Amino acid sequence: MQFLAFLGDSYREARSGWMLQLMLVLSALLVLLVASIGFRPITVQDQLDQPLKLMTRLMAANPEGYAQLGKPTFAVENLSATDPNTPWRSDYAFDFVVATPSAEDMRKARQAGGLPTTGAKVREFLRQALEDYERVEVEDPPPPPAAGAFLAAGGPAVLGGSPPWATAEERYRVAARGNKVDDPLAWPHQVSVLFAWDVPFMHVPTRTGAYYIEKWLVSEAGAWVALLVSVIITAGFVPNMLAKGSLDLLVSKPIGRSRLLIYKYVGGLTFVFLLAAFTGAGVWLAVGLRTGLWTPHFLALIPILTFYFAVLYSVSTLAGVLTRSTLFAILATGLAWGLFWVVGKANDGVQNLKAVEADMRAKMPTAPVDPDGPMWGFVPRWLFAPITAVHAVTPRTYELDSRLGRVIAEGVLTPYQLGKQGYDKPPREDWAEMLGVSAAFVVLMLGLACWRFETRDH
Amino acid sequence: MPVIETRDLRKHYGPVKALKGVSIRVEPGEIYGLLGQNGAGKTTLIKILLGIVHKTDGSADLLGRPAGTVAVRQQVGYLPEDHRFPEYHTGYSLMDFYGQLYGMPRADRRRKIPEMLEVVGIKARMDYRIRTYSKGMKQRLGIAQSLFHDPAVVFLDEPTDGVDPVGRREIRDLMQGLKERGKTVFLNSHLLGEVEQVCDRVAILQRGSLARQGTVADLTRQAGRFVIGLAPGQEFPSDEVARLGYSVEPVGGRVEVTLPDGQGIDPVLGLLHARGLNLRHLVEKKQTLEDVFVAMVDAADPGTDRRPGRRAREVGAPAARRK
Ligand SMILES: Nc1ncnc2c1ncn2[C@@H]1O[C@H](COP(=O)(O)OP(=O)(O)OP(=O)(O)O)[C@@H](O)[C@H]1O
Ligand SMILES: [Mg+2]
Repeated sequence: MQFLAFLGDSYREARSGWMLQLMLVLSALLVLLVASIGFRPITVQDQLDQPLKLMTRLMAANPEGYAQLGKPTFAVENLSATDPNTPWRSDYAFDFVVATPSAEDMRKARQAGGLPTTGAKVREFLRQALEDYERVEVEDPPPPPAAGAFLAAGGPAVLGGSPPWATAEERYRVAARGNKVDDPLAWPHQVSVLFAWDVPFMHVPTRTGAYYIEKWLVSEAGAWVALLVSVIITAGFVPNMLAKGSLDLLVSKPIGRSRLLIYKYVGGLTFVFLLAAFTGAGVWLAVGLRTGLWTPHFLALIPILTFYFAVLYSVSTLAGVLTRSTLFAILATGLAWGLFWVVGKANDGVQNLKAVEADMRAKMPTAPVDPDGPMWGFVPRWLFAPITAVHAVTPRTYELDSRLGRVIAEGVLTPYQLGKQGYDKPPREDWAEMLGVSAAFVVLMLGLACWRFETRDH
Repeated sequence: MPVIETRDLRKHYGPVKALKGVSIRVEPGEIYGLLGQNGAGKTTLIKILLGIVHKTDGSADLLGRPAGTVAVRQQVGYLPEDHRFPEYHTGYSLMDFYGQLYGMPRADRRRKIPEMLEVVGIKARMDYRIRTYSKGMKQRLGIAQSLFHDPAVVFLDEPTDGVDPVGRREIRDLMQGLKERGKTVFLNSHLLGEVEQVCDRVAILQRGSLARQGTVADLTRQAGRFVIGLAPGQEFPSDEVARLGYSVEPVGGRVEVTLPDGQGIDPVLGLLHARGLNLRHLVEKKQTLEDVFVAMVDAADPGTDRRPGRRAREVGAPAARRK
């Protein structure tokens, strides 16, 4: 009952500063934003046309330069699908057409680097654009009738990477086979936001879109804002309680001091849990409704975010007890937060570097590994051991964060897509260690705070 | 069994010795007043009894158990000096919160809170935020929160601070009411007139030590002294009265006569009558608590800065000049 009383009290406190309301509004807006994101499947024609149109438009923006390039245009024509009803399983054949006003212009266009105007460049461009297909075959344009005599006379078919002749329009026959995509949700979709607005050139598989939303929009950007605001709101709880005139009232009530402090702590935690639950469940529902992806993985955001905050809030509580200053509690928490991140990032870098080097040596004993080379160009090697040591006792907020990203990815991406996002290797960190070290840190902070609170005269 | 008992209680805040061995005893059903100058250690004593600060040495018992434990605090009410309530509460919600801490069932809280707030006269404002309360209203709320869980002992640190005269009387009546119900009240106050009216016993703290302790009657009793005034134009026969063994001192237009041991005032009155003088004023002089207090602290070092031009005076000695 005392616990509930404190929950109610913390709730009132959070509500009185309008921060709680602000957070709820922000979180509702986020859910609404996510709900407004729609996915519409596109055809291979759209998929190829869009970047070509973009390329042409960019070039045409500078008429003089465009004339120098020979004013090329690119198009996809005569598209045929083996299985039009399930476009994500179909093979495709089409003409890739490069056209210029004249044959002379075509020569100019070939000379300009970077444009898919020669056989090699066209292949490179199409392989990239159709990376989800096992095989992309490109057939060179047939030689013009006039070339027959030239070839018959023993002239070379290729000169400097291109045929020695040129025509105003060149038609490459393309066949794309063996789509690696195995379900419609992995097929490219046009993304629209705010219920109507198509984001130009935003063609991603629904699964990848869901991953971006859940990972980057919510668990990174959204969670960061939520944590920051929560740290600020809750940082005042303990100092306000300890303020002269307030403390006497509470401490004279029949409740132990440690218990008082822990209740305050749990009060702040509950606040963040409710916020995370509201936002997490809202986003999950919105993504599910819009994409049909109902895997529960994303809901891991709720406990992980709460746990992440528990680490930060334990620092805030200790700082509050020691200094009785809200501002200092905020600063100390911010500092600790940054520090944990830096330590996590540095340790991650060290482990990655070691793994990469070991891998290289294993594959090639004479691999050119620089034994003294600093990490990222500025972290000297002698710091590696201290980094690892400090990391061993630092709460694992950095790892929790990246692990949450992986959990989210596993929920929405196919194995092939997971590989593309860099999740092909098993995770290095282990749940028990991440949670154990972080929880031990929380216990230590709260223990110190309670001890100080118990022994100090107020 | 005493309700409050301290033995040789000491408290040091770093170099500041706030209490230097204080032993007091408060019996059940008493209203006990603790007096002393600013910084004398009154609040410190209360805070130790409630477990808000830790004692340095000695012992402090409350209701027969060591002071400051959670179980003891269950039966204690406390109004701190310059308290600050969380302003996000309303009067009602604050009381409700505290009630839950005392483990009062919801139905009890529903019933008792408005009752209690009515007693202290702020029921009409109980659903307003505390930040909208006046100083005296906050003080009344403070009293309400110290009493509504029906504690056996109540500590009131300057309860009438900021309260209007009518309110003060109400608070005095409240304390009397508590006493009648067998509760013990421990009062810190600088308003000696008030203390005199309500307290059964008082103690005076002087720079962390107990200077005096006793009933109000004990402390204010004075060797027989009378102030005598005659009809206008008549001269008081000072020499003759002095010859009878009384000491006489003119005070304004009147005289103050001090009786020698074992003598009454009647011989003086007889003399006046015999001389044909007309008595217009005769009052037996009694010291007020304020006189006792001021005389005492004057004689000792003050806890705050010493004021120049204040002469030390013996306890019970006649005031040099009084307005
Ligand atoms: N938390 C503290 N830290 C250091 N010194 C303190 C603390 N609290 C009180 N003191 C000192 O202890 C002494 C007694 O203070 P206390 O508050 O008990 O006085 P008081 O009798 O209640 O005075 P007042 O009439 O002004 O309320 C003072 O010298 C004060 O400065
Ligand atoms: Mg005081």
